[in-house]
Amino acid sequence: MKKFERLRHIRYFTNSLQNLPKQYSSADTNRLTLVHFCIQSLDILGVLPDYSSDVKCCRNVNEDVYLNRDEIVEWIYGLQTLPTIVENFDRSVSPCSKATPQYAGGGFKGSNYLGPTRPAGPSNPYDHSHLAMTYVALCTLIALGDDLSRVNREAILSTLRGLQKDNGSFLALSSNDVGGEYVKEDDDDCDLRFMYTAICIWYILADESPNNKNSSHSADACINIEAATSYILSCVTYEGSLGLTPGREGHGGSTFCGIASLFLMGVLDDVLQRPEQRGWKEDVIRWCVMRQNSLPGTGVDSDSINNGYDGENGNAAGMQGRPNKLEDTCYSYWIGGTLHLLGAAHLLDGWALREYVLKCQSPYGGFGKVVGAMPDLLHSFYSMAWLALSEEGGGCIDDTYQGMIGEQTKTTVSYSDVYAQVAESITQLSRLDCALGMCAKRLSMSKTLASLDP
Amino acid sequence: SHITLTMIDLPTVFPDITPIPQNEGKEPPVCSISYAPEFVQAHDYLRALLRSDERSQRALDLTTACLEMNPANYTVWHYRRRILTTLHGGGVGGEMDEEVIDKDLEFADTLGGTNPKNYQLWYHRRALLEIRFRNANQGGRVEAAQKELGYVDKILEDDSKNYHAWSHRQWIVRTVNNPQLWKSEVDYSHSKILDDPRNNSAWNQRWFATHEGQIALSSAASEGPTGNTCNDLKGGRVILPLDVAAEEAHYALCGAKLDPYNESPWRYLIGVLMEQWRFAQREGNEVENVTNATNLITDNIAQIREMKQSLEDQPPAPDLASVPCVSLISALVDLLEIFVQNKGLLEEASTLCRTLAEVDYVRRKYWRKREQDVRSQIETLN
Repeated sequence: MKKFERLRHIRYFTNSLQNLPKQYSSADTNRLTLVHFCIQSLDILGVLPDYSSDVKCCRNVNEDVYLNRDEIVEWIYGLQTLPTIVENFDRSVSPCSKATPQYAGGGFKGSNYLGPTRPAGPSNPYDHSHLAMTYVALCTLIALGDDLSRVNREAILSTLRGLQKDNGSFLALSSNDVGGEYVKEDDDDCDLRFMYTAICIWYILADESPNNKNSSHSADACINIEAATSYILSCVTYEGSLGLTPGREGHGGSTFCGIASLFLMGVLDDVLQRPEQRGWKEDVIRWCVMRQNSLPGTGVDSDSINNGYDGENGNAAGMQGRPNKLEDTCYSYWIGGTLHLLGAAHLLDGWALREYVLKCQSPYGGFGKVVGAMPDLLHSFYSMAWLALSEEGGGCIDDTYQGMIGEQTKTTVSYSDVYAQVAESITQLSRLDCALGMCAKRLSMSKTLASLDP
Repeated sequence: SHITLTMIDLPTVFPDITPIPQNEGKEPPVCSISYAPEFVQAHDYLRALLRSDERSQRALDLTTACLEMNPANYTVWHYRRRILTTLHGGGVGGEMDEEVIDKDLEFADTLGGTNPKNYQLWYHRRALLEIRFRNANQGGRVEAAQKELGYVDKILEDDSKNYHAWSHRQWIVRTVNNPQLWKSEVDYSHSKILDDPRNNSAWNQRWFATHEGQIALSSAASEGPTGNTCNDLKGGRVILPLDVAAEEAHYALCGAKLDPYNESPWRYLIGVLMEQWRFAQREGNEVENVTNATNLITDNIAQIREMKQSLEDQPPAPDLASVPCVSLISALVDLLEIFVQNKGLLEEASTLCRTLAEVDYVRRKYWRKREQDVRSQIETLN
């Protein structure tokens, strides 16, 4: 088992916040997501302060990290878009008061790749917010201790209302902005990724969300929960997993998005108990648990032979995203997180998964997709997220390594020092809010701040 | 790879345009990207054109250059489609020259090489195809669909599990909604399963084609009580008629026999059987359905037990001797557990779970829980 290289990861994320190599050009429209990955990872690593004082920058002398929080916050707010008022609102699936103006285009965009929105000039017909960018903007602002007072909450929630379709799914962009005058909405426009980001935004901002609960089911409810639930359920496959849209193959990412959305809407338990869903909870748990690769040399099935094990994996067993595909670190979070939300994370082999994820650490810091791969921000963040989660019942804390070695007689390697280092390092990581994918402590802080918002 | 703007000399083509830099404002940029110089230059001009929403051939050429450098920029694709509409028609309800459609499909293909997982490329294909389908008669639609399905097949040859590619096939078949295409999609899934029985996407596609295809098939057969009809379209879920379910179960078992250690056919089998079972359990459904489902499941349990026995008697490879087949046993347990009133079957399930906890070591905690659940059920019968 590899040690957890805390300092290297801190440097990796802080360096990435400064500058990224040109290979990231393909993420040009989503730069805010990259910022989110860096900030959340640093928060998990415990580098970001508590903001109880008027802190303008974060400096952790021991670790020689410098981060100008105010500058980052300003940069993010620079990406908030100016909403427009929609005259004839015809999406009637959401309950909403006709008295409130209906907005479109509220939220954040991914970067200034179209040039700056400010100063004022003729508005750019292509410059608009994107649902997923709004989600990462809010999460990142919260992680940086911002009180969201400059977030145009009304415009965002109103925009959200306008993005929900009759079938319950959410568009990321209003349809005019999507493809051109002749393109009908496509499944890719409203799949479970955008459902998830929509529900997260709602969870963070809406009065009636379980996070805020100022009033229960006001007439100004922003989203139609029943319709959203129905859409999510229509994505369930014969395997028990969720595809990105109805009919598509189930995979780890979409399964997480669906389950997390149900969780955040506060309906997961109810849905699982519905007569029509009988057996589904067991199915999805089984599917998730089956995504962990077999431990090599345990004489399981010839799966080990076909999955390209080189016999050097030790006790590592990573997660695949779909049956018969290769392991990939980001699925530790998608699958591990799904099991966590279902109360079944203890059924994984948490230590074997930790060991796999740690094997994917890069000497430059960060984590790659597979063993030996160069690190990238997406896999680095999701690896960190799962490691943080693993402390809470990813099947690790009730399992001592000594116990495992006792049961499994094949290995004689003494891992005890590394094991202790890893166990200790992971204990130091900040606890994660699994559904939202950010540090749990930040939400209660922002809840306090949000309630102060007039 | 190094991209050079050989096709466009920007200041010459756009002498009247002032390029707009990606001015981040007074705040230092966060996660700034070290773009290549030609990337910066091209996008500086693009920003200016997007501001004015210029629709011209030179604008189209600029989008070509920018997309070659970053095919994931959805705004540039969007802009490109708007330009195409202005230059060549295809706006709401309109037609676009077939040659233009072909050319842009080809363009999208050339960009795919480096990243067949790009959402925007597939989306662009659908945007163009929608125009083509809309303006063709049914025969023309089927032909165009087959041509595009052939293209997707080419992609799948290199990357047989490409999620976007399989999803694109679903879109084509659903959009054209022709019974012949639904049937040939079942055949296509079969051919990909034969190529690689471990291709889970192909199994999923078979499920898709056999299920949603029922709707097209039943409309085609609506003259009389002939052909397959759907049992239940409530909530958009198609349930296979019993005879089709029996065939699909048989198909899955044959697939499992090719390689019993492959999870895919087993989950397909369980999916087919559980669909029948759960449908039969639903309130208001006939006792006959329960009997039929029970018989189908019992029959399959017998066959699985046989397979298990013959694997034990004749392992497929020397190194697999006395290696219990987890996928097979897992499927058997799932079916045995259905019989919640039958102590004998539950005991069998419990024993099998214990075996799995030993041999499928990474999942020992899961199998122990399964065993515990079965034992609890046995307790209630005592």
